[in-house]
Amino acid sequence: MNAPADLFLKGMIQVSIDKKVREWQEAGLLDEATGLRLVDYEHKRRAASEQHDHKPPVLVIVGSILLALSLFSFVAANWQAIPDLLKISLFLLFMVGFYVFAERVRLKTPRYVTLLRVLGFVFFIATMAVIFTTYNLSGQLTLLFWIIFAMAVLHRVLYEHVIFSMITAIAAFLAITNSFESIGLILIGIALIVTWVWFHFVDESLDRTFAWLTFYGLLNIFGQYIDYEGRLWPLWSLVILHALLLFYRKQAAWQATYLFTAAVLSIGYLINVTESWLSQRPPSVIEATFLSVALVAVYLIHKRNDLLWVSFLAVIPFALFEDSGVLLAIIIEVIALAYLIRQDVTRQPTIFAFIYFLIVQMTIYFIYVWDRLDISLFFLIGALIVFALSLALWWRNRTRGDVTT
Amino acid sequence: MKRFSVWVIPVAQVLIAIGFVVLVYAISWVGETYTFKGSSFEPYDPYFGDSIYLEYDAFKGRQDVETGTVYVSFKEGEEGYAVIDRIESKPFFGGIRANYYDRLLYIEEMGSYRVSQDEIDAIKGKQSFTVQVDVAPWGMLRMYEIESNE
Repeated sequence: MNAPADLFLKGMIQVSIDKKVREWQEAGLLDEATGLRLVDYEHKRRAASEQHDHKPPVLVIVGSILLALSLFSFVAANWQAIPDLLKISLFLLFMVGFYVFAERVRLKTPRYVTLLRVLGFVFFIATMAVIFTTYNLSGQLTLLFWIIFAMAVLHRVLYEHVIFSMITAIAAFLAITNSFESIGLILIGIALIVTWVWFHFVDESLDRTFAWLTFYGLLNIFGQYIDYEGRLWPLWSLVILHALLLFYRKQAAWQATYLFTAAVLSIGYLINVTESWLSQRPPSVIEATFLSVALVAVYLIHKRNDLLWVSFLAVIPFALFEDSGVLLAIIIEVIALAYLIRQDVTRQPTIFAFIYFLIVQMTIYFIYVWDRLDISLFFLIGALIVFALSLALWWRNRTRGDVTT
Repeated sequence: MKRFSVWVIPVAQVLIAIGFVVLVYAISWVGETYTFKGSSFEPYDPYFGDSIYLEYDAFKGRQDVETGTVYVSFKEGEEGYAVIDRIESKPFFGGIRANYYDRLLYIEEMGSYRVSQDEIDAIKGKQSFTVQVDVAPWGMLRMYEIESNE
């Protein structure tokens, strides 16, 4: 009986409908039962729509923000006075809270789940930062970086969101760059295992590319650890990483990292051969021979035509003996041009070949011609050579076309 | 399975955080205590903020390692103060990470001491101190007591 009165009390918005229904009832347009049903129906509909897109009132939001700010500033002002363990528990509580919150909203509003999990991870890092600054644990910083990397990998594997790929990549980069001076054999081993987990269990080219680069960084760190003295370790790392191709045979985009690294290395050695900032020592003949053989061997084992260009690095160990660098410059120049032409002839994308070719030109210019030749003249000569080459190719294609028709 | 796997990460992270805190407290439970003689290199008032910056007599002098990151362990010397026992460029079990430059060893954890409220009065204005440091076998250390020598 008192349902309409209840509704009236429940919501101010309801008022207009209740009033209207009563008005119609009094005018004899509606009987009481229909009126009740109408009010009931309106009430249910409104309740349903309110539940559907529930938005807290603006004042409540502003109030909560102010409350949070006051809490934060209170904590910040008394930070020194708070006992160490309480500080850490506070951060841990926030961290766990975000993960719990993420699970609670998972079914209702899935779009916030990842954001909440990222916040949870951020609070994990914050917790560790608090622990490390409170107890002054700067000596364990390298370990901390690898722990954060491992947790990021775990996020990527279990929560399967691409944002964690980026977070993992950043964590890996920081861990690698902080490890060159101070890392033990055990930590290198653990890092390799974690990187392998990332590489193996996330079958995406983006993740595998970053994991591959992490492997490469770790191998170079290992070279640093065993006090390898020479200039050829980055090449050895690349050779060792070809072992991955034995187990992950399926052709995929991440394998372009081999070419990319080879390109970077060729430029690096081109600069290094004249500047020798990596090491002053000439390479040993035996090592150079082994390395060249290994680089050719990996091609013969895998027979991957797209990775053929990696094995051309075999010329570098021997080119380093000639320390004016002219030989290496000529070889790399020829390879860059051959790669560009080959990509064009086989109708594959030429953009990367073109960028590589340009970078090689710039490097050679800066190393050899800087003071001796005007840059415009240098590139004019380059342009003339390229034009002549393209003309020759075009001429050959044309005459061959004539023959077939 | 899925229901449990989402909780693996928060649980692991809580355990890692607790693990580090336990490790810190364990330094005092199982570690060796060494006494260091330190002095403040701040000429006026060594007490800065809530910390005091220190350097140590035991860390001065030439060491037989390459400069850069080194690892070091201690033993008790004749006068009761700690002296360097072993110093190497590669990590070894029980070795504490340090930096070695210009014939000076520098351990970041020992570079400053956080002075607690009840120690402030005894510290203010002093230059020379005795510091107690606990060193754990896994290469972590913790300073816990500072006394003025003056």
